Amino acid sequence: MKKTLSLIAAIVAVMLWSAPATAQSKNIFTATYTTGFIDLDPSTAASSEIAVLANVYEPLVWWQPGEDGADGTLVPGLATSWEPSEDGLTWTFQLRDGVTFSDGTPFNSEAVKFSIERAQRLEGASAWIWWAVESVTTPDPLTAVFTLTDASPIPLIASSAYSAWMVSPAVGDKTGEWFNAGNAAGTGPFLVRSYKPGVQTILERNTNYWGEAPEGAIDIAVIDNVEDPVLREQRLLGGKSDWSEGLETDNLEQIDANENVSVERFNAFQNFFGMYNTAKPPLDNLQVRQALSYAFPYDQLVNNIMSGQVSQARGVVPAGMPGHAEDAQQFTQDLAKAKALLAEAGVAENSLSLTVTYTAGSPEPQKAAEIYKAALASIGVELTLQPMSWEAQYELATSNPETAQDIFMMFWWPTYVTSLDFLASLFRSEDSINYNLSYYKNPAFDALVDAGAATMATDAASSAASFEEASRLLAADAPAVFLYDQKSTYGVSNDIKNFVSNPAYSHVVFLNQISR
Amino acid sequence: MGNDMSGLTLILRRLGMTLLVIVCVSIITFMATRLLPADPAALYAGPRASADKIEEARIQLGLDKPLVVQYFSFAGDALRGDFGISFRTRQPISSDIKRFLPATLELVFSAMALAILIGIPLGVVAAARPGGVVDQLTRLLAISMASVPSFWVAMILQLIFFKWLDWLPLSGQVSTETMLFNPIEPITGMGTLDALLGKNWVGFRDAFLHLLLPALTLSLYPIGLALRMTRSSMGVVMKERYITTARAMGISSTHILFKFALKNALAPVLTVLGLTFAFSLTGAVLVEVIFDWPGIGAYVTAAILAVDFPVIMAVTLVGTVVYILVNLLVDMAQAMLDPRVTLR
Repeated sequence: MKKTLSLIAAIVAVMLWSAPATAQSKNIFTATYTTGFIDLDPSTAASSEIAVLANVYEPLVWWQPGEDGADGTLVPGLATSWEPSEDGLTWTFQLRDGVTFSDGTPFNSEAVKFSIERAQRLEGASAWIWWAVESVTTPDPLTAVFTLTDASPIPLIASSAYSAWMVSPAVGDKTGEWFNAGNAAGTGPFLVRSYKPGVQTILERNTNYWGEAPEGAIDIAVIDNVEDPVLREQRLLGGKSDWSEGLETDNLEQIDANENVSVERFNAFQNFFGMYNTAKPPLDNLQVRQALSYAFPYDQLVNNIMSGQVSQARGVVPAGMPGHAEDAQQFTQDLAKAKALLAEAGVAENSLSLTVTYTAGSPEPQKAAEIYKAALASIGVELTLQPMSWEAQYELATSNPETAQDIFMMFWWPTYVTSLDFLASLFRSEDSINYNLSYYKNPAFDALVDAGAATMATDAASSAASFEEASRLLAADAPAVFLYDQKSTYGVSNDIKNFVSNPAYSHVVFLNQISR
Repeated sequence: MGNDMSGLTLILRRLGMTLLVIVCVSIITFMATRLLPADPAALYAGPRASADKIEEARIQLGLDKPLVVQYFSFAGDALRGDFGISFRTRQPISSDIKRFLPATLELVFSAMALAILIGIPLGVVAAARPGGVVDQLTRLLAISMASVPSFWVAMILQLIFFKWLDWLPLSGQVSTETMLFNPIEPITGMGTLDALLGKNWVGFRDAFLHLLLPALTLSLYPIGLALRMTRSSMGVVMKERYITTARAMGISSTHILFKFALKNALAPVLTVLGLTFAFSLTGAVLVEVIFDWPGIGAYVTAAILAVDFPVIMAVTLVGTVVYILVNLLVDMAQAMLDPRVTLR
């Protein structure tokens, strides 16, 4: 007993004497993310790990959003300029001089060749962006030439958030395992100091970075993955975290009222919609589709359920992206009109019974489906809710359109900033079903999309005009009920300056841009 | 019965039973995960994977082989400590478990220590005067401790000790400052122990302060349980004749309570604590999530939500083994405390 007591006394004494870690002169930034990162391999990563990658690696080209909702532009990254050939089948990039990777390897055209070929070889979920690249040649160390099989907008593709980061050729044959053990070899302003998968990542400033650091630059960034939303909020409000994503919509007002923290919102290129099954009755009928689109309670979804944190969608291409048509048709709830349209389409009263599928466990689709069901009930249409796992939902949708769901609710976001990823991936006619889960087939629409795609590399303005025309056509033909464009919402400590979210790289805090 | 068998045979027999249970559990978890509606190959291949990629994953994972073959390759790998790769974290599951299990063990050991150090003595004191003030108060305390939900207590403790008083940290295993400037060298994976072993006093202080609230939250139920079990078990023992004899001989009541009575009253308390230990191992998940404690509970919860079935199987198996081992140890401790108990 006495021994135990003296041991305890000794421990207490030690604890009192050892002062807590005192304030260090380092400028530390702490960020709280939701789920853990999965894959830190810059050639294959396809999810929120770009929060780390975008600070450790750089692409040839960055996509920069325009001011006040204007269209975005491409700005130099590791490439300083780029030029297409007449036929659009060759792109020549001039590279930045004097850049070295964190492992000491110089950045040059060989590194570009290596990075693109590595992404193609490893076939990550986003590697398809390089499909048109036949070869990359290296006439001199600062010139890289892309030879293509089809004209395609390589600078835009090179600004992708996934599979487009430049990685040191010294990596050789190493695979994801090496990166996921906490190793990195990029040219970016930060280095990976430690990585605990699913828990924490610590980045520190790369003192050999070629670019400049801002006044009050961040020295060390600690990125914590915290699953519990209440805890994320507590950490932010308690000053334990300078930045947080994944805050609960209902609490944002209260968080914004805190004197040390503000809530900041940015455009995001992610949207939410329900795809109508146009392959079978009754939704193969335009009037029925219009009726269903007039029946949705958009106001209730946007303002009550999402507390105004999103904006009602206008067509499938989100606002702020070239190809979005500001004058496309936007439905508002009008139950009388919906009822009249159903009668016109020859649908007998109380005879329609439809099913909607959505991914179980995510709250927004659940709530959207519930209010839709109530609204449809009031015009005599019965809606059956079918929440299921994404895999099961997708399997049902791709098996046989005749027996599949009537409405398929889902979120969508592009791999790089192009409305082609919305228009073509989701609505262009498909021989075997991939993501056109409306089973929509419209030759006029396909022609507009193809015209836009053909001139994408060579004539951005006419390409955007074709895409806008396609967006307008689609909105009027209503193969889906377009619900909302997401906004990115973050809680940010007031002493952090210059935080701007770039919708092309959602989740990313650009650590060399912010300061304290 | 049992007297004709040597202690060694008994232990061997017990271990045989243990193996049988582990095999059964492994078969059940294996079958259960195969009956899930989600296609593991599609999950492994990741979102937006092509049909070719999914087929490739199916072959890579051996999912194209008959179920029996799949089970034996799973069991063989598991025996060698290889549970495959997690779909979600893309890390070897054995290394994930090695990283997350010690944190949970640290939490559960601390909670159990608190239960023994607080619950048992309080139970003894309560039993000294049945129906007395202390007895009544501890009864109330024990019932409220065992019945109040842990996530609620956790948040109240955070509110008081972090938000209002600012005495204790909000969450995590160590603070950012310690992590950066006095990093604790990982040896066992238990923060406080590693800091002690590495003589990192600043780190130890920090890790200890971080451990306090989650350990306290997790210990409330075991404390209440230990308190009530000790109290009622002591109540029976205190009526035994040898206690009356000891009293008549003028031995001090403290000595009687803690030396004579407690030793005999301890058996049921240990059994219950053994069961609680195993339960806390996976039951710590609520506490782990609220305190962002990087333990196995939070890990397996995320795995369940992501239908990451190799992880679910691995953690279930490891949990079963730990559960059985702890209960075996408790039984052995019983045998030492009470010569009448044999290992059947």
